[in-house]
Amino acid sequence: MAEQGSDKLREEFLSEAQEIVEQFNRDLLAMNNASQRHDPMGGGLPVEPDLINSAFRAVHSLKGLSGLSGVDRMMHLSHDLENLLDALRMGKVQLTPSVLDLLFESIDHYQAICADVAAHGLASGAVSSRAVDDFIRRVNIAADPEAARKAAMTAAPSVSDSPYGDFEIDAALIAGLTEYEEHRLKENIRQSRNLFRIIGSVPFASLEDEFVNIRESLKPVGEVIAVVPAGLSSTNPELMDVELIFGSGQSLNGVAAALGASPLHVVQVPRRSQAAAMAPEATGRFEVGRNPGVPASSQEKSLPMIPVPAADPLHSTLLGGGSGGSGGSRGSIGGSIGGGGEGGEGGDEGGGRSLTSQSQKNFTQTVRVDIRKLDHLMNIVGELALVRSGIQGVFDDLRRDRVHAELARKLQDELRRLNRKLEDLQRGIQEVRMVPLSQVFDKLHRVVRQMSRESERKEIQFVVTGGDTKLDKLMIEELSEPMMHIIRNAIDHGIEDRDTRRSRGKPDHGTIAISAEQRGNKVVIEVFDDGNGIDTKTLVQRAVSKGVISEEASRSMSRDEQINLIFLPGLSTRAVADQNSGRGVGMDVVKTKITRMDGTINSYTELGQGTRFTITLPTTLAIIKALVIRTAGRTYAIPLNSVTESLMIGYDQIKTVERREVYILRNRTLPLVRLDEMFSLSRPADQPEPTQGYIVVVKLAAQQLGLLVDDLVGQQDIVIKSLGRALKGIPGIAGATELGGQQTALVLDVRAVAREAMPRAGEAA
Amino acid sequence: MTVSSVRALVVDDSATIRTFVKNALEHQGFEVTEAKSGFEALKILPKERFNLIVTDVNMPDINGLELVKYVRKEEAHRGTPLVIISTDGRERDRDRGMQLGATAYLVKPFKAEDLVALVRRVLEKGVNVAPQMVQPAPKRG
Repeated sequence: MAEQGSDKLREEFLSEAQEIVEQFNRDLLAMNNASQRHDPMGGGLPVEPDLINSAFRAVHSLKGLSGLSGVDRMMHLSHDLENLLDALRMGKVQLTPSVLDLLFESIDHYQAICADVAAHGLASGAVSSRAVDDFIRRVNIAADPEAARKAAMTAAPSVSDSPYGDFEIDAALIAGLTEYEEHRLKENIRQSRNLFRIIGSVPFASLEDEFVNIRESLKPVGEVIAVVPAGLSSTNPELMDVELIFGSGQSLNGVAAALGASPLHVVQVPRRSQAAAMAPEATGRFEVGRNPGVPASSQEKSLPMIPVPAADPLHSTLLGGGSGGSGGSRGSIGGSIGGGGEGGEGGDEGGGRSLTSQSQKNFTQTVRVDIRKLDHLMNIVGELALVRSGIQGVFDDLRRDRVHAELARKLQDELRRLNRKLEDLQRGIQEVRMVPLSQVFDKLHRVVRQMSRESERKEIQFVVTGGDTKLDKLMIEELSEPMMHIIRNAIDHGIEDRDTRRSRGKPDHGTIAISAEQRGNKVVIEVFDDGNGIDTKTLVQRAVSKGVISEEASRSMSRDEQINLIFLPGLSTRAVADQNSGRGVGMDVVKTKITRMDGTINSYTELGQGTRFTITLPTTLAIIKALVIRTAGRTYAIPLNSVTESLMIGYDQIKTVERREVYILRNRTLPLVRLDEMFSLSRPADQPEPTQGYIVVVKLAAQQLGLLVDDLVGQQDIVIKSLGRALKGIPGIAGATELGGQQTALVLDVRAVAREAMPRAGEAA
Repeated sequence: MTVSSVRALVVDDSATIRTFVKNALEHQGFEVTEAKSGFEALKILPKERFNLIVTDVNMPDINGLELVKYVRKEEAHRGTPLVIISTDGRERDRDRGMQLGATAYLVKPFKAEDLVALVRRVLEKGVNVAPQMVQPAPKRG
């Protein structure tokens, strides 16, 4: 079972990752194209902010996805690429041909990791590889030319090989770190922070309380990377020796000051190049060694994380701390330790269920179907509908023939029945495509669990209702990323830490509640968190300072308008990025994605009380019936609900009334629009003007309009995808669709086509 | 030797996993002590002895690997069979745990049967296991 489950995760990961990598590749290609048109004399290549933003988002999404799936190699790669793209975006680094090369090279690495995962499972993506590590180093150099120069100056060959830079770190210590802790350690080193060991003895009875206090006092100055227990104090069995590995941008004194009256001592981990200079200061803070066999001087040397020949380096390096007495215990026992666990429980319950009966049920009563097969079935249904129309034509002929009146009547009955069954079939397939929202919610569960585990000062209760509400599979897939963004934001920026919550009179644990329900043919999803709320004042200020809105405009904004500023690009209210959520990526992407699905998103927030996002989506609207046509060699799809009929005509039947082409249809004048002219499509020079074609009659309110096209391809169910920004402004186009067989077509916006054509049609009438 | 003499310590910050493991082991006749953090385990370990320790790897504050290191260092627990529970995709954590002296590992998600079978194997073949613990838990009767 476990294998099947991880297979599924792997598939999910691969399909998502590949899609994003493809997008990233397209963005890079577009950047490349833009640079080709550029005058090489101009220094850096031109920066198209939209492209860089899009590439940045792609990499950001890859980071989130791979982090969640435990594909750490990709996560680290993405994290650093993201920095580079951010630097490009911010203009800190110029886009040069070599930077572009580097970005293109990353695609190879992504594909190699994907191939590895495809062949050997997700776990294989967790391990780091030399190739990627080397590449990451180059990315970092490109992202920070300043640091690169420094690195080139200081790095000795042996040092550059070590992932720990020039820090001397004891291998025995690294052995006890989990991958995540080790990653944080490397990350701290990469960010050129100082490393410290905070060591001492803590009373056994109040370990947890003690750690709540210690973490609290250390939080403002840096990050606790790991906690290493070293055993009972040899001098006092009531005490336990512990050691914290701590990363901080501050100096030794800064960290020591933060520790204040705590019984712990801090030692800076020296860098190889500075070891000699650092050692006296570091060791000078300790008076006593307590490992009996070792002379004091050698103990002092062993204090920094230098490999020690002693059998038990940890014991030999630890010193008995001061008294056991500690500052008053502020936090409850549940504190940071219980907190992480409780917060994650919701997620675990989901996992727990899947361990047992539920997954068994899933595997015996359901089958996994490739969505393409369903699309194929849907296409066949569309073709059947065409066949049915053909039979209808035969029937019409038959009916005119009095001899076969009886036969015609029978045929009509059969046709009706065929019709009904066709509709049933279509609905049935649509039904199969519907999957419960719990597919998305379960993923969110995992995110909440993981994030609350990683954040030690937040407890989160995750409440889900309406997970059985169903949406089309495609929408479910599209929905997962934006929902993830919202949840990450809620955890990162929404839910306050425990103490802040207490001071606001809120329960210790924050609540994130997701609910979904069907209302008519819409599905409404609400995400609520009882956290910070959005500070609209800060938001407006940022919008003004970033030049998104003018000062005057900001003054006349309604509260709703202010809140909705969060949906604009680059207006994250946090300056610092971390592993989980971003720097300005997020809500604009969320909005784009939801809008693409023909949905809406609204937010409501009260500062200090919480935020609610309401997403409204159509259940199946993504799929519509369309008539696929071709004209001047291009394929278009016309939504069928606006088509009344289509007929074949010779172009000699077209009449001109007041310089306007019309067709007389059942004694009524039907204004015509040549689609190829409307979209300024040119026919190949060697192709003769067609002498016959089709009129697709579309209706709009009371009026009708004939679209003149070369050929009818057929009727098909299509999924409308919105166009990129570049094509957004084209009137008459609602979006694009895939027709299968790698074919794409633009979907007509009949209303807009008519708007373009009708005024003139009006003149003609 | 009575059933209750076979004692297990289960360390996991997730109540669900803890309970899951506890139930599975109790079903096999173990007397199970729970610890919801590395700290709690460290409080318990000096005072008690166990025939089996099962610990999660990724826990806040003191992680499971540190616990393995600690247990293997303490005279009283050095020989106790120790099973680590690691997360799918974190192969390195798992390998480290084994290098540090874990007896066996389980990868989440796992079934109760997996756990039980593993524990059986560990107790039967485990090195440094005191003789009375080599036997699987005696059947009722």
